[in-house]
Amino acid sequence: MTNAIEVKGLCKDYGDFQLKDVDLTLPGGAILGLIGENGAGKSTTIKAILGLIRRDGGTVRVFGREITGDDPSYKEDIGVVLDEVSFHDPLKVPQVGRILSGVYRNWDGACFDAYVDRFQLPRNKKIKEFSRGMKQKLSIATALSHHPRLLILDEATSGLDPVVRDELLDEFLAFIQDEDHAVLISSHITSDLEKAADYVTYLHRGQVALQGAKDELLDAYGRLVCSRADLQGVDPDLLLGTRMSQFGCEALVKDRRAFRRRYPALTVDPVSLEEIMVFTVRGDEK
Amino acid sequence: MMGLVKKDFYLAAGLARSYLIVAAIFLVLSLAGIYEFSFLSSFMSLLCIMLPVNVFSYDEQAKWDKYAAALPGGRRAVVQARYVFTLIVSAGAVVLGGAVGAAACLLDPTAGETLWEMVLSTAAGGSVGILLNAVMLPLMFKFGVQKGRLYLALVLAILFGAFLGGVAALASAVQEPSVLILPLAAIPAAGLLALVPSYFLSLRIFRKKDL
Repeated sequence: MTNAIEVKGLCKDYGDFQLKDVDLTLPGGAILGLIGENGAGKSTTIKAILGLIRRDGGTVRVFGREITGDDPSYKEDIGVVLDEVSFHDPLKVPQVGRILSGVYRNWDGACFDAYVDRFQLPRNKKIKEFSRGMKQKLSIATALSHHPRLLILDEATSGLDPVVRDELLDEFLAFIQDEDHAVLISSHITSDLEKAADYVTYLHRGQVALQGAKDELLDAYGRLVCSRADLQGVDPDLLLGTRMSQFGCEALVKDRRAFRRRYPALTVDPVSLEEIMVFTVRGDEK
Repeated sequence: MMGLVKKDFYLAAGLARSYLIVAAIFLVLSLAGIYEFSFLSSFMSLLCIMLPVNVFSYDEQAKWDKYAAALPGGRRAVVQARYVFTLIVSAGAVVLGGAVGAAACLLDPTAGETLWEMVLSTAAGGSVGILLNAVMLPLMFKFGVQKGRLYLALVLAILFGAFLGGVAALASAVQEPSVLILPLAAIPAAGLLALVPSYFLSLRIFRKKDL
């Protein structure tokens, strides 16, 4: 099966920030979570896939087709929600539907109406009266109402309360039940991605710090909790980042099972995506 | 692309009330004899031509360009839509301004302005508007509304100066005002023609822009 997205060697130089050699693959029927701290390059990567910035290097393929600036028609297959972008304040929901019916060939007004009802979005209010959650729901309704095969969501769940976030994540999980569908979602709320993502790519300072199948990553990595003396006896090649406090030390272990075999006396706990992120950043700072 | 044009009209419709109020004030002032009707018709043309700037402003507020460029029409559709909207608005403004002026002439033939003068003033308003848009649109795509407005003010001053100076020179050179119709009618045509390189320039600017 053709991958929904294939990014190879993506580079972008903004002067004070560089995206360097980013590789990323999203197979069909899967959700790929793009994680990383603010300014790590998540939005830049998404913009490159959508042709919103000029690349300084690398290739982007969407459903097997190489993306160039000349032909934007591949976007018919993509539903997009972008960070900080909303529909104009004076517009109302039915107007948004009419606007997009003149944009997407496959726009499905009935489908849009169904989402509007399901998300309980008021039709007679201007968007400026909408809460952030309502605006995000509207964006997601529009992203889904032209029967896309790929959803690209940049921080679509940030700033939303847990109930709304959960509702939207369920929507994305339902979307990928079709194996031809895929979702690329960037977020710094790693708990959302732990729930929904099949694959994770962790960007740190413009580079891929870690990527793979989420379950495999969570299974392989571990958190070592030990004393300073114990830590000094551990082979540093087995560790990715350390945190030290007056009470003890913590370290991110790359291969939990191999570590346990080598150091059976030390405790290695399961780790979350957030902990992997924090250890990597803090380790890097040191 | 037509969806994007529709979006511009929805946004413009929200501003229509304010524009109508201003137009009504000038209508009253013209009826009271404070302004000539020809001023009203030209003013309406210019007023309506300000709509594209307002729409740019709304787009900037919503960070719309980023989203619009991610839609199937891509960047080309964004630029095309803005030019189509501008052309329709400009044409509408000229027709409306002309209609108001012509109605005023026909209703009150003693007002002192002939139908010809009215046609000339409407054409003048339309010409300035279309030429202004031809210069303004690439500036807006390049610099955005805040900086673009500054450059626009400069361009506006130059264009008005050149235009009014040209009309005055022509008027003094000829005795019969109707002789001016041809050169003045040529200016909207020049404006329309200027929109063509303006469109390609805007497209080039917008294609190169990192959104």
